[in-house]
Formats: sequence, C-alpha cells, structure tokens
Amino acid sequence: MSGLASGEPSDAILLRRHAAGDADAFGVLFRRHKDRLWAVALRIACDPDDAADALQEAMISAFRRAGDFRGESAVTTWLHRIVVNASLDLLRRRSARSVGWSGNPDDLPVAEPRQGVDSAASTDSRLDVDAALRTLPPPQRAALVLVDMLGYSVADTSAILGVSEGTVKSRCARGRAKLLPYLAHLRGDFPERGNQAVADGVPSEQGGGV
Amino acid sequence: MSGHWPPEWDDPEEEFPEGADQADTDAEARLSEVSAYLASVPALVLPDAVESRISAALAAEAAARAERPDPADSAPVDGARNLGPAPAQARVRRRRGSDGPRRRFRVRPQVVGGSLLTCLLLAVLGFALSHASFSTRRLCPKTPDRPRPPA
Repeated sequence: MSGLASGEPSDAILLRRHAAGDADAFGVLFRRHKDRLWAVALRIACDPDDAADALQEAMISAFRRAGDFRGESAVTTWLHRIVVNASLDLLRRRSARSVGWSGNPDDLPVAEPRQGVDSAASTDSRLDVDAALRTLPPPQRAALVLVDMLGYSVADTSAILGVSEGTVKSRCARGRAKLLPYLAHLRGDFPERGNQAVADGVPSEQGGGV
Repeated sequence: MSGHWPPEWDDPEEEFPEGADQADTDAEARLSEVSAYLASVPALVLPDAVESRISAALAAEAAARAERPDPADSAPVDGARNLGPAPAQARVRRRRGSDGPRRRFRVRPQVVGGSLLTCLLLAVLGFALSHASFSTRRLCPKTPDRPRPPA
C-alpha cells in the first residue's frame, strides 16, 4: 500500500464528505483500507465467518458514527479501533464457543508473494502463525497483530486499543514469549530482524507511521 | 477497553514490568526474531465475497440515509415551532439567576411612589389629628382649678 496518488482525497476529507451526505465517499474509504481492516478482524477473530461479521458490523457502525469523528486521531486509527472493538465484542459474545477456523484457511486469499519468497513456504508459515496466534488471549493477540504483523507503532496501537503504551509493550512481549515455542521449528526460516515487510509504505495518514 | 472481557482473557501482569529493559539479551533476541517472523507473514486480502457483502450492506445504509429527511433541513422548522420562546425565557431566567444579588438593590418606581404616598398620608393624618386636638383645647378651655377648701 503506497501513499495517495495526486488528486486523491485524504481519508479525513472522504470522511467529511460522507458526513456531509456524499453517498460514495465512505465506499472509497472502505475500499482503500479493506485489506488491513480484514487482516485485523481475521487475526483477532481467528475465524473467517466471525471476521466477516465483525468487519461488516464495524463498517456499518463507522458509517453511522462518522459525524462523531473529531479528528483527534488519524481516520485509520479510528477505523481500526472500531474493527478491533467489534472483533473483541464478537469474541466476548461467543466466548463460550471454542475459537477455531470455521472454514479451510488454505482458501483464504493472500497478497501476492514478495519476490524471492516461496509461496508454498509462505502458506505453511501463515498456517503456523494462525495456529500459534489462536493460543493467545484475544487482547494480547490484538496487540501483537497490530504491532508485529501490521507494523503499527506502540503509540498508534495504544490509541487503537485504548490502553497505555506500557500495556501494549507488555502484551506484545508476553505474546511473543508464548509464540516462541510454537514457532521455534521455523527458526531457520526466521528473517533478519526488522519489521519492514508489512509496514513498508504505509503513510502516517493511513495509520502506519509513528 | 481492558477489564470488560472474560476472566480467562486477563493477563495478571498487564503493565510492562520495571527493569524490563535489562532483561536477558538472548531472550530479547529470540523475541525479536518472533517479531520479525510475524512481520514476514504475507498480508491477507479481503475475499471478494466478503467485500461484496459489506459493500451491499453499506449501499443499503446509504439508501436508508438518503430516504430519511435531512436533519439539517428539519431542524429550523422544529426549532421555530417548538423552541421559539425558549431563548427569551432562558435569557430571563439566566438574568434572574445570575444577577440575583444585584436585583435586591434595584429600586422600583412603584415601591418608591407607594412609600412616598404612605409617608404623605401619615403626615397628613398626624397633622390633622394634632390640629383637631389643638382646636378642641381652644374650644373647651381648661376648667379653672377648684378653690381649695379653707384650711
């Protein structure tokens, strides 16, 4: 995801247009961020059907509450917060039910593999990560997904989750520690340290920057 | 957001522990590898079926919003009909409420006029009474003292 092309309205302008009655503005905003919002919902909900429900619920909620947006944070931070809350609410409502994939994870589409990355290996690692993430409590999972997988800063994640930065750091550290045994067999495949793969090219306005 | 989920979701040590920066560097390195590995997982793409479903839901919302009367258009009508007198009343109430102490010292013309009239009436009445008493004394002079009986 790269920056906005010249002439493209920013997220804030789109949201203002939507609040003013523009029928198409919110659709453009949704299409612009759909993949990242989907990733958040799916990683937290750990179930494609639940994630779809949560994302739809969140988008309708954002559609209706756009007039309440005060501009105190980036539009993407606001959208992500709504999606995270919808996903956690859905999990809370279904907490009696064991969390597991309701479909075949292999069927889920992924972005085109990067150059030099074996697609079969990518799928395997994704399945491993999915299985490992399911072992974490949802709040811990949400923090880890936002920081490590989507490349958000601790400060942005703190704003999205509505908790202190210390809590975000703590959840991430504990989550990584819990994931380590599940992913240890992949240690040879671990890439060089860094967090550029996903966060690359996410401009601040779209929620990716510090 | 924390504190509202099932107990099993809670982490007993939520806050980042003091002195965590001095943690074992080897463990930190391994955790960093986990972090880097998570970052290398391919990004997900929203399935077309889900996108269509959500787009349809948003289109339905937009249609419902278009059918509803614009609150911006209806507000002045309602405001004029229902809330017209309110500002004047509010102003009066606010003035009475906030200027209460000053109101005690305000002199009203009716009160002043009434007081003056009362004073005038009392003065006239007093004058009349005193005059009447003086006239009575003049018309009925004091009876001379009785002569004392001879001793």
